[in-house]
Amino acid sequence: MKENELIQLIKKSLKTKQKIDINSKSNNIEEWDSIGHLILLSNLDEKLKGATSNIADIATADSVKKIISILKKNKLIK
Amino acid sequence: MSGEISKIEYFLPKKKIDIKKLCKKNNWPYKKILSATGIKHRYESNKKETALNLALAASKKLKTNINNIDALIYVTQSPEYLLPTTACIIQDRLNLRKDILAFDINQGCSGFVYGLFTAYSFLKQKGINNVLLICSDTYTKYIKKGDRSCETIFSDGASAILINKDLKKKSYFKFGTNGSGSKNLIVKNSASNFKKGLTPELFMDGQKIFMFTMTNIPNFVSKLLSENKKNINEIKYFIFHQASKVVIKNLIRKLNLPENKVYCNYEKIGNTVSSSIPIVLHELMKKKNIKKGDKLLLCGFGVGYSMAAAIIEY
Repeated sequence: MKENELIQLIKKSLKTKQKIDINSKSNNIEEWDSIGHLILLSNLDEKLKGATSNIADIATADSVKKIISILKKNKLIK
Repeated sequence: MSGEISKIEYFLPKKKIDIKKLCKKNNWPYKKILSATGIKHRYESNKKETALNLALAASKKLKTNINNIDALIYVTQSPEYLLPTTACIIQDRLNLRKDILAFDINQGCSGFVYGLFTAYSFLKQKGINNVLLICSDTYTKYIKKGDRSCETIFSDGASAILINKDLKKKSYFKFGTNGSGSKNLIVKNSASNFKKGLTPELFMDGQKIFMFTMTNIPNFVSKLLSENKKNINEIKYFIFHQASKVVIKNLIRKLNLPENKVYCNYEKIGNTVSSSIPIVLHELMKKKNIKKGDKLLLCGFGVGYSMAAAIIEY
């Protein structure tokens, strides 16, 4: 998965009209609430064919930077 | 193991909550919530209605000969008192025989499978031929008004299950426990941690509970199948705890299950905790979707964290 694909997936999951970029955080995107995050976790796991299920930290990753960092650490993003 | 589920009844409180109206009242995004939970209605007990009342109502619907019941198992996390055990009160209220064993099991979403395992174990004993298993919970009493995560999911309800001795029927059970997640679904300010001036309050970290489920349950179910040399094709229905749409949808995907093998009713009933699996079973029995000899895989998971699954022969 590439970074821009992740950003598209986050935008699609949150169904937000706001711009999503590397600096987006849950506290500056209205739709990034607990339910939005849950849908994002579900879509991300599906996209990565189940690879995120064993990464507990992703449950509390509340910004694009944190998600990218976790995915990089687990070699799931280029 | 040595039992057969012969009859199931359930009881829901009269008060039916329309989630769409609830969302409108609280200015919550209904469509978004619905896309994750899948729940359109749930049920709520009134102030005078306790889990015990629901349990008694469900049990009376069984219309069984109470003199045949040799053991009573009551699964609840909404006990009438800290002591005595609510099962003793039920024995008296249902006028069950006094020479029976009766006790509570404190488990939530995995509780029905725990109760079933215990019942089947007892049925191997001489003199125990019929077990009454009751599951009942009223989580809504612990929910703080305005808690969107809990108010849109949890439902009150009770189920009563009659289990008879049948030494020919085969069943396979598997359990799992991880108490490191105990703080992620908890009634704060309760029991020994009750503080004067505070009320018991349900707290749920939905994201952590979701991750626990995704990390553990698919593998747990696969192991139950492989350890007992069973495959997906042999199972007529997979009956999961009715947690929410997003949880069950992901279990189907991760286990690669055909959707027609997974029966759900969360949309119209909500998450009734320990009763969610028996209520699904009741619907399948009533609709005659299952016949004698069919193999069913039941799986409960959640608060604890606790996991319990079984392959049973109907």
